[in-house]
Amino acid sequence: MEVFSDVVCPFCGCLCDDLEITVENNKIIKTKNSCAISLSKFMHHEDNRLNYPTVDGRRTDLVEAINESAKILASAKRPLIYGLSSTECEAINRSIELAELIGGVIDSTASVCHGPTIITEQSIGLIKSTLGEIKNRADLIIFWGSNPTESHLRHLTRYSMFPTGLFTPEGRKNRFIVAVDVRKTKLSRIVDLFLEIEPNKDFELISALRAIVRGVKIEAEQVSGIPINILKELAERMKKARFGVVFYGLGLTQSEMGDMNVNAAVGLVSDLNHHTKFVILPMRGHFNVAGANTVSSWLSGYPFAIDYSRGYSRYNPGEFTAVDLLERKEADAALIIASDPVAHFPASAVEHLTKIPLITIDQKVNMTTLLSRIVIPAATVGIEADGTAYRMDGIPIRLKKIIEPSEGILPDSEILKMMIDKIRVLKGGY
Amino acid sequence: MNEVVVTLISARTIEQGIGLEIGKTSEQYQNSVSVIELNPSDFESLEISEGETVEVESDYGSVLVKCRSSQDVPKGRAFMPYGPWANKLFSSSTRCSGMPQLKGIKVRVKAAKGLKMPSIVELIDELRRL
Repeated sequence: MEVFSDVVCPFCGCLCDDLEITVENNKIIKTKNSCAISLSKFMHHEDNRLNYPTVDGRRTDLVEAINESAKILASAKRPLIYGLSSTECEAINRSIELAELIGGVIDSTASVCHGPTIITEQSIGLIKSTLGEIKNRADLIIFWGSNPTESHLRHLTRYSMFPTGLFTPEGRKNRFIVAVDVRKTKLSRIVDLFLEIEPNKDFELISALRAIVRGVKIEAEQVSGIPINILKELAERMKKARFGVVFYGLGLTQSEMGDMNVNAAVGLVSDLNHHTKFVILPMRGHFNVAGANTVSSWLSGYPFAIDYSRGYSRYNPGEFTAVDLLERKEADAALIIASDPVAHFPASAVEHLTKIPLITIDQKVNMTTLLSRIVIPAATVGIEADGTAYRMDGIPIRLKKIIEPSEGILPDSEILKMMIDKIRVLKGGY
Repeated sequence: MNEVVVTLISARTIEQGIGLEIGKTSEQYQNSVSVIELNPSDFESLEISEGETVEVESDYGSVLVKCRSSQDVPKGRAFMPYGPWANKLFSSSTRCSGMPQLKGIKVRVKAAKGLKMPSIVELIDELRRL
């Protein structure tokens, strides 16, 4: 029996790095410090696994699966590479190399979660800080369209609500916590102020707060379902905070005009910095979605939605984002890495995925693998393979390998390298 | 037939997270995401019992799911966890942002007594026939 300490959880953007995992005979038998989802990830990582590669539903070996994938990708005119957020940085690096080699479009799951955040970050920037700084200093925390009690289960205990810090020695007592949401949640029951707003009215509410912070008189009695006196009190509290934070989620990005919502929220935080220290952080979902954007930015200059069809990188969300490319029925082949777009894209985008040769690299059976022409099983990153991932605040953290994968099951990065090598041969050594 | 028009919000849940880590074809995952929650008053107006199948229809598609009553959901709104059932209702239009609108769309909900909700395998078979 071996106990691994300081294990990093490869589930959400919190990348909790204090897990203790007990392994016996190459099997995980116990976890400590895991949240409910992390527990499920570690204890069920062997369930519903892909055990061997398949081509057209027929069991095959890795070499044939790679060769067939290479033929499809090398001959495609408009191949799409999609996923990336649930793998480590080396595999993301390889994916971008592959996209350039085949002149394809590459996009990550960021486009359907915090894509509007990335667009804003590229255009006007985000005023951010690390989660450690927030834990130690922040006395006003606003969760806007985000609910860590369902999606980032240890966020409140590790960083934002309960922990004691250098300038927050009494933990919860030193923080005023606000939740803004369209329905009641577990979070809304434990905060100091809950604003239940009307759906698709975030932009109006943020704009009203900006106006109040700037000293403009608002004539309306309520905005987005919230009485103006409550907004005035909140604006005053924001200006007087020692260190304020907006943690926002998909409530802003996936509602109507998501990019405008994020733009307005960043504007509010920018305005508040004339009065005090205020930062804004997106609650990134997949454990390495921040890494997908970061690595992609190093290598191509752009964070997602990149087209290599002209031999160099071009960036255009709305054109080179996966849902748009599929909706226009443009892609003629797709390679999916560590993602399940068939389960998570709107129906009409999924429809085109069913019409083109689909190659999927994943650990488990999912809706996309069930519809794929070629399926290649991979080792689980952070359990059976090591690598680097970026936490939601941009801190890179090394994931550990704690058990050996089954024989013949390789990490994503090695599978992608084999694919790249084969395609180079097919393209005459290019 | 009784029908309510509500604004649909989709989002993550703990049960969905636990289920997807077991596997997308697992019973836990399917049970966690094939559901719509309505405010008790909207729920009562459909004259159905807890867990009964309803048809949810948007301008872009329709799907059969089980229906639950929840005090957390305000009147006139509805909640569904992310997943293949909810995604049958959303448009792929992204207004040039890359992001489809997955929250805040109008849907019609009506009782579908006697109709069976599709399983994940049936959803896949449906896609294979396209």
